[in-house]
Order: sequence, then structure tokens, then C-alpha cells
Amino acid sequence: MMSGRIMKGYASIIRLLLFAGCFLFSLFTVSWAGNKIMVEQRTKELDELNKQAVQQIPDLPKDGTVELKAKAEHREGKIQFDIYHQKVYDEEEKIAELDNANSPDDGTVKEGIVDINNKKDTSKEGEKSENDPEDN
Amino acid sequence: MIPKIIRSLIVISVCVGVMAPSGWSGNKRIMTIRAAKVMAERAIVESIYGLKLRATEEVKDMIPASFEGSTETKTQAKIKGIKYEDIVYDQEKDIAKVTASVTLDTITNIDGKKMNLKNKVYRRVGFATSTPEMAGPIRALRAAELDAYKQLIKQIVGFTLESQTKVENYILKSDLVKTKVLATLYLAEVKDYGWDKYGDAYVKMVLNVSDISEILGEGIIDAGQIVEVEGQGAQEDDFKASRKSAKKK
Repeated sequence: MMSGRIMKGYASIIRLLLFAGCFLFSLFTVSWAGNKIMVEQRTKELDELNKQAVQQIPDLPKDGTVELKAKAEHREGKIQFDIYHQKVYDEEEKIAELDNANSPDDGTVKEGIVDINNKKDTSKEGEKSENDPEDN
Repeated sequence: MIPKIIRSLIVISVCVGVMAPSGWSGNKRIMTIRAAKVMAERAIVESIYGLKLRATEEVKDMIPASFEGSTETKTQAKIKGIKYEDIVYDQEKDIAKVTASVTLDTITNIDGKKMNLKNKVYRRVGFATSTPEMAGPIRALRAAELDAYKQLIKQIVGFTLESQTKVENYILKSDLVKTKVLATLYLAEVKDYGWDKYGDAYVKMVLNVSDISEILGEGIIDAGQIVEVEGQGAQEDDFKASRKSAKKK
């Protein structure tokens, strides 16, 4: 009597395991039919291809951005790049340019007295004044 | 024992039961086979006359979910004498397979060049179904075919690469990489095709450059070269959901 019950229990566990196994197998089989591996592989290939092309540009900056357009051809078992457009932006140069732009030489206003009744500009002696109404 | 009327009813119902399936089958079988014939014809035209292919691939920040690839093909030709060598119809799956062949002496290809085919037999296979649920493997096979065409063009004609790359501490980090292909292709031959255990399709294509040189009667650089590629195609887009959510954002 007891052994019969145990046997039934084992049988139901085995049945459950088989069902779970079949379910998981079918689930994975469906998910494998997609393009995930192909896309991942192609993404990697594109990255490597781009790196190969960019490395052909001389004097790459330490930090910056590279814009590139190239014609790629298979020659002698290798991909050869014919770069017809390239722009290299160096981030350090940009920072330097910005520093220059902030120098006090440009756009600063000097405090002083401007007398519009005088014929000569007090700031620049010997030169014709811009405020001279008689054009002397 | 059984009344005559009941007996006759049983006989009628048995007859209807036997006759009905063929009556209900409708035009599905014919439509599927016809579609497979058209697919095989197109394959023949693509192989001999040629096709124009435009393809782009783009990936941002090297994230596979951002990968976008598209391939378009175009062909139009009038070819006489296509024969259907083998027609197989699977009623259970509603899938038809047609093998078509053609023998031509000469033809003017997609580039307007006259080719001397010397009565060589060109053979291609086409698959089709009228049941949308069964279309997955056939779609994957066509995707693999287009991928193979694209790879052949990439190897023979080349492609354009456009990119924006960030450099950090002398290390290259690709931000945006794009490839473009636009060319015509003819005389590509299918060597093998099928589906792997995951349901993904593959098509092996070959292009013999010296054969083309001989057929065109022109000297081609790299003559003697045999270009062999394997195209791949899937049934499902695993990144569909992530792309949809990215577009919504």
C-alpha cells in the first residue's frame, strides 16, 4: 500500500520534471530563432572596421572627435580604406580657444572721460578724432 | 433492423465525410505552388540578368539594440524558357518548393552588357506559403539570400563607411558607424542553403570572377578569383521591443 503511494509520488515528480524540461526547451528554441547573435556579431564587425579606418588617420588627438568618410574595398584579402573626408576635433584645442576668447583684450570697456566739445580726442593725441564735426 | 432512411443517412454522411476535405481544400494548394514558382522565377532573374541592391547598416554607441540594417533589391527582366523541374507541396505545412531552370545562349544583363552564356543551365529554388504562420522560415531564407548578395557586393565592389568616433586618452570609442552599399550584381550562384537547429537560415553563394570575365568577353582585374560568402537570416527580431520603447522615449 505504502510502496504504491511512494511509486505514484515518484511518477508524478518525474512527469512534472519532464513537463518543465519540455516547456523550457520549447521556450529556448523559440528565443534562439531570433537575430540577436547576428546583430551582436555585425555590431562588433562594424566597430572593428571603423577602428581600422580611423587608425589610418595620422596625428590622432589624445581626446577629441573624428569624422570620417571612406570608400572601403577588399584587396589582397584585406580591407583597404580610401579616406575622402576627415575632420579631427581636438578637445584640448577647443579648450584653449575658449580660454583665448575670455582674455580681457576683447570687448572690455575702459573707464574715462570723453569730451565731445574738444576737437581732439584726449585718448589718442595726434590722430584725427572721430568726434570732430568739422572734419579737421 | 435499421430503418432504410437511417441507413441512407449514414451512407450520405460517410460520402460527404470522404468528399468534403477535397472540396474544402480550395485554392490554397494552387496559390502556394504558384507563389513558389514566382519565387523561383525571381531567383533565376536575379541570378542571370542581375539585380540592383541598396543597403545600409547603422549602429550607435556600439549598442546592438540600436543596430539598424536595411536591404532593398530591384530587378525587372523578360526571360523566356523557364522550366519547373521539381515541384513539392507539403500539405501539412502548406509550403511549396519549386526548382526552376533555364538555358540561355545570350542575354543582356542589368548593366546593359551582352553576356554569352553558351547554353549553360542555371538552376534556382523558390519556396512559398499561403499561411502567414508558416512564413517565418521562408522569410528567414530570403533575408539570408539578400545578406549573401550584399556580402558579395561588399567584397567585389566595396562599400562606403561613414563614422563619428570619440577618442578618449588615445582610445577609440565608436559613436556612430554607418555603411552604405549601392551596386548591381549578376551571375551569383547559390551553392547551398538551409536552416540550422535554431531556425536561422543560411545561403551560401559563390561568384566566379573568371567565369564572368569569359561570359562578358572582357578582361577583369582579379580574374581567377572565386568569391564565396554565407548569408544569414533570422525569423524574429529580438530587438523589436527595445526599439519600440526607444522610439516612444
